[in-house]
Amino acid sequence: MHIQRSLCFVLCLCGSIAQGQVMYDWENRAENFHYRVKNIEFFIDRFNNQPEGSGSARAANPKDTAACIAFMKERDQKVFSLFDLAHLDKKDAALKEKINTFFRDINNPYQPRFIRFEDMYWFAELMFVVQHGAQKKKLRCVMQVMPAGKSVLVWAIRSFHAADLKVDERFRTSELYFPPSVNGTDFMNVRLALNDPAWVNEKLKKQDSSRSATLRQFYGGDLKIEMIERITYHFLQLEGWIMTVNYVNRESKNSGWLIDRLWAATRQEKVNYLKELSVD
Amino acid sequence: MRISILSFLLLLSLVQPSRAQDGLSDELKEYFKKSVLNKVKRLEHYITLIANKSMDDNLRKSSISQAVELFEDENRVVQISSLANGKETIIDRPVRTYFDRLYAIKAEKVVITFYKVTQLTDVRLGPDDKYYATAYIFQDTKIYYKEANEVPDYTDVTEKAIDITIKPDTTIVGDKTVILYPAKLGNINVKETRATQ
Repeated sequence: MHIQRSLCFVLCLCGSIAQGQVMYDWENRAENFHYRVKNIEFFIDRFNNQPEGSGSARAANPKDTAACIAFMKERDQKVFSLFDLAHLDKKDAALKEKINTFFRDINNPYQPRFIRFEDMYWFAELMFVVQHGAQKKKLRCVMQVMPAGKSVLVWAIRSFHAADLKVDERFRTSELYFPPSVNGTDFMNVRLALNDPAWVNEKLKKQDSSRSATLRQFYGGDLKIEMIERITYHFLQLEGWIMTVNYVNRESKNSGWLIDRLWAATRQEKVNYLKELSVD
Repeated sequence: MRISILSFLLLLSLVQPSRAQDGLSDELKEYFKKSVLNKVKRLEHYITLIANKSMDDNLRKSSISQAVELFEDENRVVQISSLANGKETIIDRPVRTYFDRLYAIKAEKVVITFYKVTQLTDVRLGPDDKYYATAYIFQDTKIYYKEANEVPDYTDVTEKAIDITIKPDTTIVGDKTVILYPAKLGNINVKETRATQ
């Protein structure tokens, strides 16, 4: 099979759709809600061109040329709709080239690249606003999907970091775990749990967590999470690329969890990035 | 009634054998989704009833208890985040308080509409043998301080993300052991509240 295509058409085609999408239109709010990427799992499904809520990635059979072309074309459009189009400069030639290269890398007929919820090479970075004495401070918490038995996945806290509070802690195990759906309600259960002395006390009895000064501060009431100010997902699963996903709140089909940063990265650059994230 | 319960149990026993060893079968996932959507629909129904001031007062009050029963327990909270003057405020309310406040809104007429666009994530197994998912519903609220007003005095659009838990429950029917999968609602995150006018 020989499939040739120019991805420039994707940018042109989706560009026109995008202009329609960013229009402020209350009449279409139910439709906007339907299209909004409400959950990172829906983001993953859409990225893989699978029905939302399916939780799996299946490529078209490359021997079936027609089906394969249809799948790729549909996927191009879906992946493009996952970019924050309001902040994408369509006249930027370098950006256009980068996105075209990205599309060629991830959406080719022979080796399409998918992202998976189960893959551990992605992280959720939560920025807490905490009450520390009379002051409000920022505390960064990084979480990761980890296996916890056969077919069982959990979200686990991997690190706490706050230069202001002199906090830099890493957790090697999944002791500080939460149900696999905790991302769905924007990790509010993490906030409630860390603010609950009974939950924290239970965790302080565990081997890895018992050393945590931050947990002890939560337990003693010296730290209290007021809100989760921002959530950023960091995807390192795609070979040669890193992308970050943030929540875009606007009345548009192009809203919800969208790609705000994408850049090419070598293996070493990814290792360095993990250090920056405090999960090395 | 007895026949419908028996046929329900029979349906469950038909669904169970196809459960895969290392995950959920598509049949069971589909069954979960139907069960969850049914619970969410009931929640929407109760919210509409509680808010509707033209309904019988006793019915509205009893709807609060019935709505609370849909949840795992009364400790579940509704997190409300609202934007005012560019500043985000977050408030946690226990579910019963949330419904009580909805009942007591100071207005002559409250109209709540749910759009038929409920979405549900994939159902995943947790470490405690429960299954977890998140459902999303979309709500439009119109408040009229005077019933005669043609234009609502306040309107907003909110998106609710609801934690869903399914805890398998084994029961014996005759000589058969049947596993039931009742869905319960957990914490709710009211994701956005935006004035529409």
